Amino acid sequence: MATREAGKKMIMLKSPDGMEFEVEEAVAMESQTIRKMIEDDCADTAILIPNINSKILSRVIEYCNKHVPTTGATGAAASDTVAPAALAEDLKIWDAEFIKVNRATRFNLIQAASYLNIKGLLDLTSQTTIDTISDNSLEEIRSFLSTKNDYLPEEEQTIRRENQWAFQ
Amino acid sequence: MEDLTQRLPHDVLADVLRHLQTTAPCSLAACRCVCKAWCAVVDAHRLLTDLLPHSLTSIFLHFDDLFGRMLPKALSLAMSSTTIAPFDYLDTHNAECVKIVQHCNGLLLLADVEWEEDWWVLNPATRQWAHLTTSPPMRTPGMEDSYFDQENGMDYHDKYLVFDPTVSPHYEVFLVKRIPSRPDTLRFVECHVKQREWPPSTYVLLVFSSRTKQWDERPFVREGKAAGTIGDLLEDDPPDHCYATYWREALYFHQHDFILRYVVTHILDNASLVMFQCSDFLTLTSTVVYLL
Repeated sequence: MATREAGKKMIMLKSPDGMEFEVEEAVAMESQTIRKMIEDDCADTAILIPNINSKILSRVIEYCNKHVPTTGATGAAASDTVAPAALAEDLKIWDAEFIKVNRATRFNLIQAASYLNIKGLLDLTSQTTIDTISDNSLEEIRSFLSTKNDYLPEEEQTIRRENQWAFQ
Repeated sequence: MEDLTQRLPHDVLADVLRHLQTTAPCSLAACRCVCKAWCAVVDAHRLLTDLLPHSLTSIFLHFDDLFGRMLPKALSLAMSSTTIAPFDYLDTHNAECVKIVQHCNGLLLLADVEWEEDWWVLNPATRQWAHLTTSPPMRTPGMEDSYFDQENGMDYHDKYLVFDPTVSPHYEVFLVKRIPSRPDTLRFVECHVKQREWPPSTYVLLVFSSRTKQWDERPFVREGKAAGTIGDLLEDDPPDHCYATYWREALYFHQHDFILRYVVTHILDNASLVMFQCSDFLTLTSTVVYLL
């Protein structure tokens, strides 16, 4: 396994379009999917991340880099001097900036977060979609997400009746 | 604008929608109505059903006192009990003759012990009730051509209630025919009928649906081997009433020395029937299925 001068284990992540990203093992292990591969000793060399192109993968790594727990030589100073609450606030602001992406990128990030099993990133990327659903009328949900209603009128009436409590 | 949610694999869409479980459960129900794909995702991942409370709050008990009076009670886990009778708000000639036959997820199936044609489904919490229409005559499956079944009124059946608010707001009552157990039956049933398998490979039940408010025949296809032949079971001495219970979209009921499981899911068109020998891994009491 590759090592850097700081003695940290490095992992090579490969996207299907041939790009390679060298990341610290701790950063890569923000993904539970990769963590499992490493723990099962399936990650001796590079790990191919299917279905996630280099553009999206680089954003995912950017997120993990920011969210990896700051321990050890480089992170100690930051976590010792900054109060946890302030750190969380800082992360929140950073997240808000991070998620300012177009819809297509956001949906690609949702897929990547789901496949790589990164809960924080899935929560963050899902939130905008959830916000368009929460407490909005059926028509608004369809309109915001451009979802086509494929129910026949009588079918929709039946299913609305089944979930009547949701519309009260 | 393109519907980008269509690009998400269903399990990923489920991951996204699962966030609504904590923040906006009502919206999760609205999602079922957005389009068919969303409805399938919510149902397949049980996003809504996992949310609904399944905790036990009370059980129903039915006492017969020595004078034949019915004293149904609801016992809550807080150890208090409420007498839910008299059922004098039903259209009954005598509320004291109303008996709880079965209950399922809060609804009661009631019968008049004197006038056997009177059956009700009751929600004791709201006192809403429905008087079931009389079930049409139906022959015992596998014995349709038997002289004895035709001429001697061998109408041996049990009625079971199925209600699962996590699946549908409607309830169903199943009328299940069983092999008659009169001592004189055996010698009157024709040999070719006695040789037939039980349960039959296609077991037709009468089902009353609160959606249609009528009884319809519904065939179930048996999976696996038969328990025996009609002749074997005619020699048996089964109890007067066979109990049943509903659990996870299947109705389990007892006949002779075996348990039948009807898969009554509303999603599948082809309902199936699976049979277990009691001794294998299941025993059944009036209300609980034990998986041993």
